[in-house]
Amino acid sequence: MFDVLSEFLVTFSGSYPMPWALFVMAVVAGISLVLFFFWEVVFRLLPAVNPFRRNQRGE
Amino acid sequence: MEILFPNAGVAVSLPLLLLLGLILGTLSGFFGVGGGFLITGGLLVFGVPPIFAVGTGLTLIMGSSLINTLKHRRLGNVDLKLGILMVMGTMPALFLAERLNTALEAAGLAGPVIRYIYIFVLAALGLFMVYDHFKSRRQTGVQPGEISTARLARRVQSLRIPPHSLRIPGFGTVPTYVSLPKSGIERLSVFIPIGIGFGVGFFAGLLGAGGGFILMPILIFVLGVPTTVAIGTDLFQIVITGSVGTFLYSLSNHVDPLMVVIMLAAASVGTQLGTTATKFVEASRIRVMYGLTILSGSVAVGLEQVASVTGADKFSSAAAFLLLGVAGTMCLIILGLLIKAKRSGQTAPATGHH
Repeated sequence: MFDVLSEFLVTFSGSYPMPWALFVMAVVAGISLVLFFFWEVVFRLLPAVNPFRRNQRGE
Repeated sequence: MEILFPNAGVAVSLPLLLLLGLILGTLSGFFGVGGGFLITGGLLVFGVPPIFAVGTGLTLIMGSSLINTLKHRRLGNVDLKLGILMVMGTMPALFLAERLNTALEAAGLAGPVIRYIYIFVLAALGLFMVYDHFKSRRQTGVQPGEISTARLARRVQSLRIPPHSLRIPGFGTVPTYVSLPKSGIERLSVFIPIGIGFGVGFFAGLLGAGGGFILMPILIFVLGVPTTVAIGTDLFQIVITGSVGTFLYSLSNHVDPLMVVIMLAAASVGTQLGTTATKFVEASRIRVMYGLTILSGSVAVGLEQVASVTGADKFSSAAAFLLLGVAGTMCLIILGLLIKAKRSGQTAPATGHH
């Protein structure tokens, strides 16, 4: 699996510079958006695991 | 545990990459900078070839700045109007700087010139921010956390630069002044943020960085933008400069996307920590911590220059370890301040405006 991915990355980057540049930008932007929304959901859905919140209630 | 990265052609330790990503995300979210000088230095220590370290670093900066901008936007810290005006000046400057960089490279001067500019700019900004912190603390009658250049900022805001309106076909006459309520600026000539964007873009293009370390202090001390809004707006600008850098370095095949994705995952965790901390830590404290961080950056680049002149690798290693050490320490301090503020029930910095 990793070997296939490595071969794809090396071949694509070496053969098609313009599509490769756009691909890199799209992948990084896409993953950034996914990570942002992932953490937003995590921090909204799991307030119970937040130790600070329990502490503030205690006060 | 090492992974072989196919594009860069180098094996790097996975835990170290994750740690570097975490540090970068935390500092980027807290200070509103891309962290180019940190990430490039870190990757060089890990054995990544220099050109890949710069290209991969810029791509990571683009991704982490995008996450940080979205997070700061949710906190109400991004002045989009101001950011777009600055980008209008940044874009042409980036290409102009790239031309100058190519000419310097051809003359064999790029390395030393870039390093000397870095040393001077980082040292000047760092010393000024530390000085401002102590001066503001000593002054009586000054609002806590207020910047020492408040008078200069008011003067810049009141500058009236001709032409005061422009005739645009199809739109009629458009005034060249804008109101920026999010930044607390009633009326500002559009030529000022466009000029700032141009200057910062030129430096960013010349130094191969996002330019955030210059823009953040300029927004605060020259334009009088509140610290948290300066951080958010600065990050918006870095997304643009980082995207241009990513495109150019990807085009020449000097980016390893696999390395970027791994570090980005860790950076997204640090981002949560850094951006949340800006809500709880005093603005003046953020500024002095930033000043100390870039001062260490100046010393590190100075050591790099000594290494290139003397040919002694130990100076280069000392520079990278100094940078990573200070950055790691700052992350621990940010975590400590966040925990302290949360425990004391503090919900926002008392000195919210500046």
